[in-house]
Amino acid sequence: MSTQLELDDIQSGVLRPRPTPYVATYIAFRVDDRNSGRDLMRRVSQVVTSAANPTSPLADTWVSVALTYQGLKALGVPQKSLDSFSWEFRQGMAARYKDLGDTGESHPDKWEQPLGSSDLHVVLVAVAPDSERLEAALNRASEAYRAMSGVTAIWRQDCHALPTETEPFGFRDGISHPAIEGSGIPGTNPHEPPLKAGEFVLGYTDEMGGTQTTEPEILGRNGTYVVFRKLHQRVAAFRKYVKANAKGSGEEELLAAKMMGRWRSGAPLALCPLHDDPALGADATRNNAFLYEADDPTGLKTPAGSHIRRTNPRDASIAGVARIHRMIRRGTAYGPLLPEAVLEDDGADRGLMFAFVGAHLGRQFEFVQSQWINDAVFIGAGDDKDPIVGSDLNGANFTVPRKPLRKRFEGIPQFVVTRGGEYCFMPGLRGLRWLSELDT
Amino acid sequence: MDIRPQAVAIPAETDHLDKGKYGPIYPKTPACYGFSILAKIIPGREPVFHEYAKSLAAAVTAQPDILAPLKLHYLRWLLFPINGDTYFMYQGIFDTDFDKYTEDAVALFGAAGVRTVFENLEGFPMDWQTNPEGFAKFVRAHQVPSFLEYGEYPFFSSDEIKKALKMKSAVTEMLDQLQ
Repeated sequence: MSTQLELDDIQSGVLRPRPTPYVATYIAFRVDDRNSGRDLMRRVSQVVTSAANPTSPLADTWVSVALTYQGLKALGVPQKSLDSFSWEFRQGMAARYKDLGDTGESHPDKWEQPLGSSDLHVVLVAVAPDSERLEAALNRASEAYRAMSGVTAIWRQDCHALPTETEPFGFRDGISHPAIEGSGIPGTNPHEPPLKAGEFVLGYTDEMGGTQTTEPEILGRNGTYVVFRKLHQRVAAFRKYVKANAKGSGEEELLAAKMMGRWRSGAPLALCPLHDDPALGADATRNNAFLYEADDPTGLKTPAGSHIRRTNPRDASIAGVARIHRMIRRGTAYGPLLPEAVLEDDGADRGLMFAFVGAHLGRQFEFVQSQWINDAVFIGAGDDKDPIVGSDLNGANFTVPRKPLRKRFEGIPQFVVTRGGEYCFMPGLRGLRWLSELDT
Repeated sequence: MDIRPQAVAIPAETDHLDKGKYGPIYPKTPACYGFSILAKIIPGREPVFHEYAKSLAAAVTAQPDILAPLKLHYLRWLLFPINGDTYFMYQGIFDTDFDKYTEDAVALFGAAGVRTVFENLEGFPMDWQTNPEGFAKFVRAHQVPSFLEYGEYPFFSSDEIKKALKMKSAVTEMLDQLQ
């Protein structure tokens, strides 16, 4: 008998795949007075929806709330409880910059303020299928914090699905989602057995057989760690690189697909290696239904160094065990679309708000970032990096296996720059109420 | 191609090193990543170590790639006496950073059904299979860092070495076919 998750205590934002299309807003708060902060938790807990009732008409519109380590401290959470959270969470994202590859232009010293600072305490996320419903959700949420002294909104980021339903580089996004035991929410790859609930939610058995708990248990149970990262994308530079390194539009599209592991339509190279197949790309029942090892061990179809094979190697031969490094990943675009075929940067800030959801910041988010994205020992390719999202690239290499000879691309510039982010904890609804009732 | 041997002296103090979850992060050396673990065994358990040696050798024979995902070069296990007690030393040389791959090692040993001989060391957490943090903490507490490391072919990974050997074999085969 498999575990059943307590969906009525888990915030919607943890498990529920986002609607398509959708819009989202992130709002960050500083808490100057612990009692106000606790009151904010009480009010917000009445607005936050649980992951239960997925068929309700409101299921696609939700508000989630998460706290940073500094935020838990600002609310007066006792030290014993603080110490029961994961080591990485307690450090915060900025302190982990070296492991995350946030160096050079992505260094925390250059981050958008107040991201990475100790002022960022609470993050509220509202998600809806359109801006009208988002506005309604934000209005409900703002009743929770409007006119509260001691709590100040210090940062806001509006995001939206692009009309093309792609991320800013032009690839269909949001395709892959793991199946989670006991959630009732199906995964997108029928060949991947569901992952243990404890990989994504605290208080349940994980793939290692362990269970993460906090002190007291109610604070952490049904909660999870969430990583937010604002990633600026150099769309013009990406287009220019592809154009300069391929002959003609057909070859350009193939190179872009080899770097990503999918064609722009979302169709995976694993299933259509020679040409795009937009119908396959748009078909959620087929576009993630594949493995690598039996069919493509050397990466002749999907290069081992491509973005999607690095960030989810599935059953491919790699160092370590892929299943303990899986994550729920979500991305929402921000900023204006760069018009098609434009090759010069227009100076606009555009990119992606990246969100990670998982119970293990160290062996999931940080591992993927340091070992799979910014290194290549795990695939036997030395110090190559992810050709699309690799950090501080400037001169990295990317190999496309081909018969009879491989093709090596050198001097890949950096296409993605970290503008900031933070490690947060998204408590269960009972955990939120526990926070609101603190009396230290 | 210039394959230049390298040696590096490793200072005893660790203040200059970045700190990870389990302590200072030791950088990769010309002898790749690695560790040496020294610990006292539970008295009288020597025969268990020798039985373990046979079972691990048999497991590798049955499934030669059983440890491949750890990206190892060499492992050495030793038992030796100090003042009448028996101590154990485990020395591994590999391409991945142990701090990052602790859970992978635990998961691999667990999935392969290979018990660890560490269970016969004093103070080892018996719930290691579900408690990778406890495993890592024990290992770090008993790790003795090198003060000097040397690489005859520095920094090369086992993947590169295996590829080079396969290449040599393929070229030899090709030349044979030209006779």
